[in-house]
Amino acid sequence: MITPMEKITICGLNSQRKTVMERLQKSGCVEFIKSDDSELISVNVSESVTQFERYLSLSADALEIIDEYSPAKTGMLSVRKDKSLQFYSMQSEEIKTTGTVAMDIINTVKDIKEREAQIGTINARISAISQWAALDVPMNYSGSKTVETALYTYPEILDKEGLDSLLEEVGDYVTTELVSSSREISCIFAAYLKDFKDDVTRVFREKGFTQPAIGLSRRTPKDKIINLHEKIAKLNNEIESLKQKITKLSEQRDEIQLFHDHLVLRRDKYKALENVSLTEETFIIEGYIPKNKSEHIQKKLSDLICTVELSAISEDEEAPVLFKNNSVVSPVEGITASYSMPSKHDIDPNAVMSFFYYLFFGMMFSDAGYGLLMVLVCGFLGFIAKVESGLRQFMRMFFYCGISTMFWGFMYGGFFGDIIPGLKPLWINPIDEPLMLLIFSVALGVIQIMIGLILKFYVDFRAGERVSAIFDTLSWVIVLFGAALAIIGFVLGYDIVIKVGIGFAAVGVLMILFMKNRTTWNPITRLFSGIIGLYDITSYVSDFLSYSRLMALGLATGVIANVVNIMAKLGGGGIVGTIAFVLIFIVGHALNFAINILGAYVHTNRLQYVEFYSKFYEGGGRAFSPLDMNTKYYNFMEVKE
Amino acid sequence: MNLAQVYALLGAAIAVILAGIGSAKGVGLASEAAAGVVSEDPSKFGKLLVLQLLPGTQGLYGFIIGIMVMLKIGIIGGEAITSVPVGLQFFAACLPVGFGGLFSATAQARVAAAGCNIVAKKPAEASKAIVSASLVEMYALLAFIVSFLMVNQIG
Repeated sequence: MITPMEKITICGLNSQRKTVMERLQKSGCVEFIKSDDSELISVNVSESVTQFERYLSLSADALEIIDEYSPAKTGMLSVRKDKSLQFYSMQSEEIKTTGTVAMDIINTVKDIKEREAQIGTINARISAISQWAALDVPMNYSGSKTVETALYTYPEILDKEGLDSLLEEVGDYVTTELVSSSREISCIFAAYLKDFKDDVTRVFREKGFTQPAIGLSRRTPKDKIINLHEKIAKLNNEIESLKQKITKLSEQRDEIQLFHDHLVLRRDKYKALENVSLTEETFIIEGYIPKNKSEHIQKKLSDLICTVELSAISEDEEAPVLFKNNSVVSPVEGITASYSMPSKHDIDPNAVMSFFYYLFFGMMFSDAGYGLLMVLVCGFLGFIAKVESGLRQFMRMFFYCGISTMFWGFMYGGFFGDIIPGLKPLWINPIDEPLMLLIFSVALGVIQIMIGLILKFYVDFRAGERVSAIFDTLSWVIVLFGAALAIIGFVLGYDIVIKVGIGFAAVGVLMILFMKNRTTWNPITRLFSGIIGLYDITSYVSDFLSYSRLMALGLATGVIANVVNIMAKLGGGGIVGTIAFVLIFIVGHALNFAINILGAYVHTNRLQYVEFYSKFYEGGGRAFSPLDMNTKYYNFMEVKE
Repeated sequence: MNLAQVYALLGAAIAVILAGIGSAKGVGLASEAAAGVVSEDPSKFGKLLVLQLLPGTQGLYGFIIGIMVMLKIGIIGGEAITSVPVGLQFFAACLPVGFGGLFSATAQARVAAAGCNIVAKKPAEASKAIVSASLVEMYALLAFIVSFLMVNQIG
């Protein structure tokens, strides 16, 4: 069922605007829309919204850092913590301090990153200097009055003879020491008389020696390396204390989460404010509200100076949609929503769809053991455990699917495959009678598609398009019904049923043949259009055959489960055999469970979307999205006193 | 071992080899795409894992048919078959899952790899990527069912 909506108009004094909006946000049942009255002013909120977004990303970043440095002890299912509504609005003082903390955390991480980068640079430096470690004079030592010393590098491996032969030309004036030599680089300390400096440096240059690319320290390389290591140790110490600082600040996780949620609430309120119209002294809020909530809102605002007017939604207006179904049907609302929300012409398809959804899912997954697991796990999560409402609905859907899976498991005689030797199928064993199951699957398809067409007939008829409803939709229902009847008669051997069936089908065919084209009276044109129209039968046939997947997936679950059991038993008896059995059994069934639950889910959705909804469901509506408390960490509740 | 068993074993080998090649290529392709996304955001690994594994089912189907054949022809159980036509029947029964698995796994892998893009850009729509990849799965499943029914009915 789709909840009927009303339009609500609230007028009040600007001085009470904030209170009104906060109360609306807390009740979460009004979706704001922009007034089309152009004389009124509206507030430009984009700046404030951007501001909030910025702080939001700040607090989100800070929270991410906190989670990294001191992971929260939450289980797999995180639930929003309950919080009394009095925390709804933080004091500006608190906002400031918590904001500073968040900022502090982010800056501290920046500091850590900076120091880590520094350490990286220093390490590179150390590895460059360590090539010179054997040198025992300061690196910037340049010699005495008459003798000059210099450092050179050579880009290849060298030994003393190689070095000497390279410098043969000036060998008399220069004495060298090979400090270190590796494949990439050779380091050389050279001393020569100042008088021959020009010659010596020229030879060095010509032979491919270069001066080292590192800064020359006034210490010896060894000292310098020690010095650099000291620097690293100091930086590491600083990083350690910065990390401790973050861990300390992380204790304020709760406050920052509250800060985050507070910002979300404020931002949403400001976004809604964009749709509020103002005059000098007053404001006007227009919006949609579910009819059953309007009294509640009127009561909520009764003590304020404002008027609340309710009015019907006009015919041509596309109101947002909110589903309202019983607890068995409502879990599949999400399935419909991810297809499309109903347009204003549509009916709520969930009730009919949920029946087929659970039925088909069970037929495809079809193992009582797997179904039992689903019932236990999803039943616990959906009804007993404390989880967020979206997950709860999803789990409830799988709970009902699990019941259906158990049912079909017993119908097919499957409980973790054939692990229980004496378990007889209540109906058929699909492995022995696949044809029977195929026929049954297609028959279910015929039924679902006929129901889809009947819904289409109802929708069109209600919308006033009666001729189209009768000749374009009802005609096919009659054809399909007649054909089905004839086939049933043929199978059961009743001539009379066959004749009645053919009669029905003939009536339907005639309706299509002559009434498909209603724009002309020319019988030839009409007949032609009618014949082309009859070709639609091919699309119906392919739709029906699509339901063969009910058989295929149902069979696959059972077959794989049986093979798992066969393989598990291959180990024979004894201790080794038993361990092998348990291992193969668990792994094999877990795998089969995972593959086939996914398959059943996807293909059940597909049958609803492609085969069923395409018959009658238009979609394209918009989900109701009221101004509410869409928080991430805290669930603000009214505390009863 | 007689000729009948040899034919049947050839069939089992084809089922396992072709479906295995398909899945190996498929999982490889999808995993490469997924690795790219993980390198940017490791937290998406869970969502990507399903996409990576979907092209892997074909290999499993081929494996199951291979085991079933061996169980029925007296290699790891059952009575040894002696008639050559029966051996060829097993051979024929293995073809659907072999070829169906080979081609559907590679096709599915391309969908899965494209799906990794969806997960990278719009993580909230990950389920749609999985649904798309699962649509290809159908045809591997059909091939598997036919192979299975054939193997099951022989002998």
